[in-house]
Amino acid sequence: MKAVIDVKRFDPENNSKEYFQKYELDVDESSTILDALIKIREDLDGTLALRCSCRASICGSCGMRVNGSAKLVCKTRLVDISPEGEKVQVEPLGNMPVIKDLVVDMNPFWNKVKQVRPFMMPENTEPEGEYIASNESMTHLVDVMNCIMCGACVSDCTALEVDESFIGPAALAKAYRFVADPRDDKSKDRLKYLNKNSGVWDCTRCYACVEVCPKGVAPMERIMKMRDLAIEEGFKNTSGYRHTKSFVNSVGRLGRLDEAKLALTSVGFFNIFGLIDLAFVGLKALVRGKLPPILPHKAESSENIKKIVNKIEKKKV
Amino acid sequence: MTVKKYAFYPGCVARGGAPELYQSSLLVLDKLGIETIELDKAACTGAGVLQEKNQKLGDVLNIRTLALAEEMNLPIITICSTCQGVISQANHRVLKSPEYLEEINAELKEEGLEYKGSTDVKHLLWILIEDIGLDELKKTFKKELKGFNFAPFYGCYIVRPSDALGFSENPERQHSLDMVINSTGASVTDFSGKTKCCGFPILLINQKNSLKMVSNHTGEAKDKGADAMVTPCPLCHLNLDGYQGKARKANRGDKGDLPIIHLPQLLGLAMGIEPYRLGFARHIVSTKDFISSISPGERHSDPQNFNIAMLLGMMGFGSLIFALITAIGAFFVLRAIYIYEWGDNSFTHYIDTCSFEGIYFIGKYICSILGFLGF
Repeated sequence: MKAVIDVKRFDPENNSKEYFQKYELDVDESSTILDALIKIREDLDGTLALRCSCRASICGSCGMRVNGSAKLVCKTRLVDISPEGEKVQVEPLGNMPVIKDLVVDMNPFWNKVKQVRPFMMPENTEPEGEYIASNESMTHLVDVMNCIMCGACVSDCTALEVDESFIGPAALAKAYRFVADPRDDKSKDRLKYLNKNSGVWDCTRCYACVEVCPKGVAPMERIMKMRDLAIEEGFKNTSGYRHTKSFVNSVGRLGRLDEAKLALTSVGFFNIFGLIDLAFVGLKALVRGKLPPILPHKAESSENIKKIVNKIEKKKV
Repeated sequence: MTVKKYAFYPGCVARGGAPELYQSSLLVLDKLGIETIELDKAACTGAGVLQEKNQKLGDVLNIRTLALAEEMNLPIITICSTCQGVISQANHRVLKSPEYLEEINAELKEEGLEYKGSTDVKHLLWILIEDIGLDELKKTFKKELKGFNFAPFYGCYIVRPSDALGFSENPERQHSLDMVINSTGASVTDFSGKTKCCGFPILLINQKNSLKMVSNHTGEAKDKGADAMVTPCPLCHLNLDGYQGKARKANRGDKGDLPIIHLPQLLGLAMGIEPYRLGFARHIVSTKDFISSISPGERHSDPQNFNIAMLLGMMGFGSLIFALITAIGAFFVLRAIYIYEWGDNSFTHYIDTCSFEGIYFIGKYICSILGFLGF
């Protein structure tokens, strides 16, 4: 079958700017995008730089953006992306500096992973033999341990795009792997660190990492889990915590959301600059007739909803 | 056109911070021949926030909403991307696992509800394409929007995670907003941010990052020639519209000048509904120029919206804020004196950690009197 592949090129040594180069080639029906790229490099253009190794979605080397979203190109068949032979756009991973063509500098990625101290920290002396944990106490970590560090989630993370200090989905998923490991004794310290700026509360909950992860690690869901764990450990002095708590309270009390109160409690009653800022927004909204109702709406059967909320919240504790 | 009936789940924001969405939706649904019964008993979906604390609680509330609709034998129509996503995810989870559904149903038993899995939730955007059809939709249009460029902004929860949103059975859902914009005769402005996060979920947590997102998306769309941005998500609207001025000034040094319009407002314009009835005056980013370019000479704002009572209310609100700021200022001065005099932090620590629900309720009491007088 025919394939048209549009590759983003960049070669800083020859002082070039980024540009797209189109390659047309014949490939096998069963070809992956990686097969096509290797064919391009071998038959059409030896200057194309790309990184790959195992070709079986185990090593995590060949993360790239295909038609705008990150994928392992060895796991992505051409025919699934362009059944009619449409043009396929291949770019290097996002949110990382490009070295050449499709090869990115993974150093920032590894530095973030190092930042979360990705190793076991037991309190007591380690046993001489194996460190045995029961099967049941580890099952919740199976998916997250599947991570192959390909960088797909980091590439498409919408929070990292605007703030490179954010620890990011891959490193946070790795952090969860140790926070939730029964053999690790530093969960509290880890959560304390992750609860600070650039940690778990900076995630936008946009699901981009969950969507692109080729291994089902679902980093965002791990981040949400850690938010809850941090709260349970008593780290409560964050806007994030106040926001979540106020949200649950509002639904419990009214069945619906009390937007005005949610904003006030999240900003915090002692955050004077935040309150002034909010007052201006409120005033603007008021002029336009769109201030959230000051006396909040109640759902019709809010008593029933309250019962459910109280019951399930209590059960959790 | 045959009448289609749905259980209507408007979501909290449409009834709160984005009333123009609710009012325009009702007008548009009427023109589309859609009959709705509002789900007054349904709870808030939790918008993913509640889920991060307690996913089961979120699932129970959303399955309860589905069960309420199932009782009426109707599918749910929503006008909020986030509600769509969150209810879809809950539905996806229980349909995947009968044991989990049983567990959830056990919680609903007390209320006499049970979810069997026979109903579904669909955003108006999908209903336009799947239940009404673009050809039928075009028949309701009276005005060609040719020559206008609209940038589609989907919002996260209506595009991800795709396995919960039925994209494999209905692949056109991925481009649904582009398709609807095209059907009005207008052109789509393609830009890289269209399925990215608007920043709203972290607005109150990390405003700097949130505003950068607003500025990136609206700025890019503007640079690419968009006349307005269309979104099916009222939460995105709150951020892209409400904070655009501040965001653009801080990050690009220009003005927030890209009108952000709700999907039903776009449909309403194409259907020839008068702009003032669609609530265009209720936007923070002015839609005046945009509306006068689409319907020259048409009234833009509803004169009833602004009256003396409202002005009084505003003045009251202003003085309340002033009083609040003074009170907080005084508190800080006293606190500083206290620390200086006694050098002990325990008192201030107590004040910082205790809940100030009290202040809030006094404020609310005053506000409600003002509200009674003003609105």
